[in-house]
Amino acid sequence: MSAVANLQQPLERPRRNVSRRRAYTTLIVSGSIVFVIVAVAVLAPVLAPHNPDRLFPNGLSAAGNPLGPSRAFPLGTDQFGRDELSRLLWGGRPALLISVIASVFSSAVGILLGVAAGYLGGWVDTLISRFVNILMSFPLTLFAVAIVLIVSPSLINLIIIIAAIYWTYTARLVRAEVLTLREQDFVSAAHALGATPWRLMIRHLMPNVLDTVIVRGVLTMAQVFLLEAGLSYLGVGVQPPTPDWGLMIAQSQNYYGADPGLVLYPGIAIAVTVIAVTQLGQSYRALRRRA
Amino acid sequence: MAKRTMAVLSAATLGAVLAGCGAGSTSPAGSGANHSSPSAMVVTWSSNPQTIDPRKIYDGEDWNIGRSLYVGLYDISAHGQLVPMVAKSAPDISDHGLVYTIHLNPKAVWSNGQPVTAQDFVYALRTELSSQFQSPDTYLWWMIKGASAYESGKSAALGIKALGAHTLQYTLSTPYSAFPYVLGVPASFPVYPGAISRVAADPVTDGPYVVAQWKTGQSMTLNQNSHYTLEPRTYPKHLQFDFNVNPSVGVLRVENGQADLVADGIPSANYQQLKANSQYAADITAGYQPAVILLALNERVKPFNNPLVRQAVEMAINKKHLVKLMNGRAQVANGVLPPSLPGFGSDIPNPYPFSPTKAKVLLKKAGYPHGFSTTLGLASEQTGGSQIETEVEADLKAIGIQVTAKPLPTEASAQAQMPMMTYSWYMDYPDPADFVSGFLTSPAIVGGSNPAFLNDPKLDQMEARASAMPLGAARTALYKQIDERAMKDAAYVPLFYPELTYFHSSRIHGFTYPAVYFPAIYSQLKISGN
Repeated sequence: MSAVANLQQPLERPRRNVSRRRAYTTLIVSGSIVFVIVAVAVLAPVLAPHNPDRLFPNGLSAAGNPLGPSRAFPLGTDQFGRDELSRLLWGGRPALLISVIASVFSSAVGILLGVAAGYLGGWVDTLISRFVNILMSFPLTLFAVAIVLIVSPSLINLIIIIAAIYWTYTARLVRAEVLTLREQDFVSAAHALGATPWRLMIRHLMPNVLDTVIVRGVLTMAQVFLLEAGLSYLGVGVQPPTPDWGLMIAQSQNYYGADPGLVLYPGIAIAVTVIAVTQLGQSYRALRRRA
Repeated sequence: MAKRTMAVLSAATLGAVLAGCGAGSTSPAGSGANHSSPSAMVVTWSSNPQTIDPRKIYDGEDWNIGRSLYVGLYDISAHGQLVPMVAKSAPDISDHGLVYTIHLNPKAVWSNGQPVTAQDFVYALRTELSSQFQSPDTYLWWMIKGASAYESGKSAALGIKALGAHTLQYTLSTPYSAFPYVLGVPASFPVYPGAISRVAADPVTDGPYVVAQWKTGQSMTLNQNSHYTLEPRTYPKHLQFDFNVNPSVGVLRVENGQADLVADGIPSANYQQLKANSQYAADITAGYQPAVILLALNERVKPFNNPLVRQAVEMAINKKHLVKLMNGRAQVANGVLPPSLPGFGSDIPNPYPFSPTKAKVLLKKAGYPHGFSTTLGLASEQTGGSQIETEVEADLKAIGIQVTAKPLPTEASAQAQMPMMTYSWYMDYPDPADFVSGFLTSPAIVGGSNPAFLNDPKLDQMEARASAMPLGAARTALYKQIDERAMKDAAYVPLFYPELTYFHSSRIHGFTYPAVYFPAIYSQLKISGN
């Protein structure tokens, strides 16, 4: 080892500590934001001052325009005379629900098929990998739009379609990791002790890829959140009058000049949620790597 | 005529956002400085023409483009009067109102210089009514002798014949005093005999303009027809239609001098900003459309086969609030006949005033104390949270009826047999018979234009009697009774009579709102400096 390298040695530990601290801080901050967003969505029926679907007779100006903020309507009303704050509080529920359920399903399917492809190899690997490649070759949003238009948009259909798309990313990642893991000693040892392939996959391989799957699952949540907002914006996601941030932007976009809040509030909500969830996943990954 | 194009907009493009950004502009609306051709009037439209063949023209901008290319025997003036065009004068009516003889104006010629003859009208109607042609306008000709048998291919006889090059004769199966008005709608216009494909793409026309260029899905340019000599004279030298332009983008283009008119009208989001800008005071023109927007409740489908349920829906809809959602650019409707028609019942008390409480009581009486779930069929432009969809869903939810909206392809709307659907009827000609025979009678069920399946033999008899009566007070009174009777049945919930607000460039003058369907007669608009 050179003298220069020796001089650098003592400096590396504090830098690693700093980046670890930074990752930890990010995890706490982003985790808190996600917690607040989820809590608000869950408690929306209690927190919202009004029924989000109610058209208030006094919710529009005499000329039929949305109202600005007031005591009765803290964020004003939308173009239908509905309370904007109530719709904003309720509006995260569909996207959160879809992203959580779709992420859990896609992770479960992805880990099962990814481990099977990576460990079993042969025709099983070929079949799963080809199928993954085919699915991933489609433009994601267009593919989702096409399927939704065929099966009609509903909450359950959206969850199924999104989960059916996103499992491929997890499967590919897990397969790559299992290809490395299966060559390691603990797998050979388990095999030598008579573990069946099924037991080996479930008891030995899956726990070792769980961290990767969790990180991938959290990042998938952010992506699904954006995809759901995009589908609703395009009119093929959550259907009116259900409050949904993407749909709120779509319905109010023509009011950007007259009443920017109608577009900005749900837009900011989407941006904050996606950034927080992404940061949560990335900081968790950073901490696990450094552990 | 059921129309799919409305001022209710559900656009979802970035252009709308851009329009909002540009709405703060204080420059006059399009002085014309940016126009590629100062003598061209540029019209933007959010859709595409389905056809320019008058035998198939049914709605939307097709109607206005058709009227720019063709003229028929008569035109219908802004005051609802018949104006002879290809006809020399009013028809000679004989044989107890069954035979109409019309003499043609020899000055009427096609764009290739050939004279318009009576045979051209015979050719147009015979092809239009043939089953192979599949025209959506055949319902207009039910009173022509032999029309039904001819349409079904059972007979070649049809009540139209040429009595010479310039004399045309129609024979009716039953007296129909509004028949001369039928001769003013595009579906009655003549067609130069030739291949159908030619008429559809590059037609020989007898109107003020000819097609200079048509880029499907993009634009259409019309030039003045040099052979056209009929009155009134044509003003713009060229008309340019730009298709698939979001209405908010259209507004922005007019503001920037790149267009003269937004054919869709002004979207709600842009309306107040434009109104608030004094620079545009002279560039906004508003008028009621001769139309009614309704909710059809299918009498053949449970639970709407129960009159109490239909009455409950009638009382649950807050029409005043719906009109407010449209910036007040509509009038609450309590009957099917719009205000500009004889028979409009402004003095008739609304049998179903807004009362959610009474609506709930009616539902309970009908056996639905906890409401029910149903489907609302929506024309495509009304989906995605339009004012109608939002109001109907919210109002019915308030009395326990859960509504799931389902988009419908408009062509199939009336045949869709939805439990409930939005519906509209825009006037073809200024007579109540157009509305009543159009969608309130049992023959309209067969024709597919009565989506509530209202089947009232007494109402059918009243309509048959009224349509045969000479125009006048007695006939008007009978139509008023028909309107009241239809309202009592509650198969249709009249929502509002729409208003269309145009935004046009400051160089456009002479805007008038004619009595029928879509307001703009482009050939009559004047461009400053031309």
